[in-house]
Amino acid sequence: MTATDYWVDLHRAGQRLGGGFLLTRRFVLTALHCLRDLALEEQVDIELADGERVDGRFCRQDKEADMALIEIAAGHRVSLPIPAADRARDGDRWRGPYRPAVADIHLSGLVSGTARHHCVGGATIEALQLTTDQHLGDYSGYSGGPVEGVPEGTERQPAVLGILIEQTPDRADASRAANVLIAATIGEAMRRFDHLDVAHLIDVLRPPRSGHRQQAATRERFDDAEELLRQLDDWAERELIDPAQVAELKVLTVKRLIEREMGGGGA
Amino acid sequence: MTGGPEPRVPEAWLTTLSLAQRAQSGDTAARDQVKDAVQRLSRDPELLSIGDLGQAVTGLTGLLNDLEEPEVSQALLRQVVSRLTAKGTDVRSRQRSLNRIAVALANRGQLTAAEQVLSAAIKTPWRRSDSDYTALAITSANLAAVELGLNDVDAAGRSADRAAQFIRMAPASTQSDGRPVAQLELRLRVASLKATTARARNKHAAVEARLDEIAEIARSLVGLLGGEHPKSLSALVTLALAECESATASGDRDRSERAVDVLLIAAQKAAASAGGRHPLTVTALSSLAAAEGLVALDSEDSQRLSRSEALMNTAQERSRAAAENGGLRRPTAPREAQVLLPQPDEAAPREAQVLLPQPDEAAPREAQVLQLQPDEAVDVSTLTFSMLGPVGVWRDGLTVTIGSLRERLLLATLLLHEGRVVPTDVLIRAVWGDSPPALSTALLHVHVARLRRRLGPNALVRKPPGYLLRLAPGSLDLHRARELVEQAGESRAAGRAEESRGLLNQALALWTGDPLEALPVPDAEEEREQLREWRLELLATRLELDLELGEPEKAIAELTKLTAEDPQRRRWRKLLMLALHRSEQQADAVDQYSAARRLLADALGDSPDASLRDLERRMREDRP
Repeated sequence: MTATDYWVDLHRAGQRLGGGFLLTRRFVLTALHCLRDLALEEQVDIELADGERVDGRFCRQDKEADMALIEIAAGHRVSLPIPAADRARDGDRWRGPYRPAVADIHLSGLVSGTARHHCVGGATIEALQLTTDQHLGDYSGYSGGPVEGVPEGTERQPAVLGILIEQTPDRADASRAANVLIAATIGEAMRRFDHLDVAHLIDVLRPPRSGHRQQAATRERFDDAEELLRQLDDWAERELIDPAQVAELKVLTVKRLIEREMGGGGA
Repeated sequence: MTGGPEPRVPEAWLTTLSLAQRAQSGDTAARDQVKDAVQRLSRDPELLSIGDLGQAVTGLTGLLNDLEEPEVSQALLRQVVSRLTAKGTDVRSRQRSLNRIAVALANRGQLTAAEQVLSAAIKTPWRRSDSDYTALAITSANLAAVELGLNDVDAAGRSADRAAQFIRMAPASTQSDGRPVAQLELRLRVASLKATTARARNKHAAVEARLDEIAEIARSLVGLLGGEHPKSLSALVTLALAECESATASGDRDRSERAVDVLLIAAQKAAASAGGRHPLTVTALSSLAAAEGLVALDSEDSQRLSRSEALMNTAQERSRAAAENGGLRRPTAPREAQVLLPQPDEAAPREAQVLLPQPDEAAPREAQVLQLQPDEAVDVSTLTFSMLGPVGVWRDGLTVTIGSLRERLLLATLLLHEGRVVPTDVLIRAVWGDSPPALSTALLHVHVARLRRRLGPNALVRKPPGYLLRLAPGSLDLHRARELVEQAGESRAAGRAEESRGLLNQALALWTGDPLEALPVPDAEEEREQLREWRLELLATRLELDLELGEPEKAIAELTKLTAEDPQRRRWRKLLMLALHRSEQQADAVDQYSAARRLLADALGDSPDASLRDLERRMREDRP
């Protein structure tokens, strides 16, 4: 299994919808227009690169940026390697490991720029402008596929740079597409979905229990002082100190605690 | 980074570093001058006047260690620390300088030296002022991290508690001193350290409380900086890895998998926003690798463990690529080393975020299971080890496969120490050489855990400042060889030459090849060479016994071969001459002497020594 085998084919009721790829072990990223006939929460059949089929759920969409997330069913844990992401640089070589059918060719080319792109859906996104070596005239079917950087130097693993979302029309012939494709960067894709927000992920790890947690934190801050107050009672009971003085000592303890909390001086 | 001209490098530093580098390259003249140069530097008024004192000290001590001058290295370090902690030095800048030195040392794997510097920093007098408390909190946190790296959990716990105390002692007003983010980062680091030490001491309630604290701090950072800020992402990585460690320790598989998922997302976000070679990305990838490794070990999933190694390799490759391009400084991960230096200003936050080896992140369970108990019954008697040839392990006579090169390097280093504790930094150096990867301490623990699974839980134990391989008596071939040789000597002294020869033959039979064959263990060449020499000595003694027992013919073939292989070794030549003479091949014996004389004259400009000349004379007189 190689790092290129993270792409997927999406199906519904036996019909191929389009391509996508494993962004994480739980989520597939695809172009929204591949799921145009589906509603949110509908089931999608995901065919992994090794032929395995798993259930997925169309869980999130960004209409303006034409991207969608499909969540893999909880019962399945993907063990395929997920390639690390990266940012593309102008002039880098790229390739597309996904192709719609076995008879189709793989795309490749050069990253000719990273810029703000106004999507068909209306959003302005960070996108890669990709020239392709292959002049197909029509790149339908490749949408949703990943854009990979070609490893250089000592790096052995390719990095995923973006997701193919649009082709550009050939100005000379409107019936054809130019050999320039648009890919949303992975960074843009990840910013678009709240499932991938840092704040959300913190809550996933440690669900907030606001009232209880604040109380617990407050209690903890006063643990030392409370321990000391209890200790004074214990000493008085055991007649290690004069019970008459305990009240005064407790007042002093509380006074120091208040000073500390109010920033009136060090311990 | 602030602007302005590059600071001048004092002449004493330039001279000393140049000499040390040349000495390391083999320049013997430079080698002879290095020690004096270091001593002069130590006395130089400009000792502390170099721009990046931490890097300079680490670089020079590293070179001195490579030149096998640890005392000189230590003396230099003591002098630097002494000057920095001298009376009158500003507390804050003192703490800052000492922290920088310690971090630089720790980043190079010199944990023991880093601990010494930080301990000195903590012990120096300080005033009760807000900035002192913060500086001391940072120093204590760094010390805790180093102590964890040295597997001293108790000391690390005390240092972490001290750090938390110093944070609390800083008056509230200065905790938001225009630098709320810096304070939050410091609290995050301390909470993380406390979680680790609590976990190592099985204080589960305390661990959970610390994790809650880390989450709250992370939320605060997100609130201040936004979710896309690298520091927010870094806090998420810290939380996720701590979660994974706790979940694995408590056997909560769902929770640990959740944490791994979050780490993967964090790593992707970091790479996609900051770039694949950014220190944050390398950190996140390394943390993900460590978490995958933890879960893999827990579930005994070797494929997943391989993935973990592949991720770590990716992180290393990206880090190297960044360094080669002269871009970002090669990081060690915040998890591995998040030093928060006392910041005079926020102008150089990147300078400040130096990284310090973090402790035992990857194997908290190991701390529970494998603390060495003095009276603990140890079932290691079934294991035998070899190092007089390829490194090998057997259990009840059956081979224990140690497939991974890193595990074999680890085992070889432990065997070389023959049942003594091997410090963590020595093991890191043995496995990764001079360029350990990010999270090397955590990854080391992964490899240790794998090795431990093969050997059995009682064979390889953690003992501060590192690990100990327990060897049952006679379980190591080297030990058996020594015992046999000792017995052979006693037999020979008692006049039992035949018995002595038999024992020596048994000892020699334990050699199955070159010691630690084909394993590039750093710093082991001297030991390897000593073992080779010892074997040749034993062989020579056994050949002498052949002659003593009146069996010179037995020795001739072997001695002829040895002499041909190593013609400059006089002992072979002498024995061969004797053997030839005693088997009545006097002419050949004399030829050997002549050949020796020619060889010594041609190759070494030398002549046969007195013993060889004497033997030749006695042969001519027929009284060998």
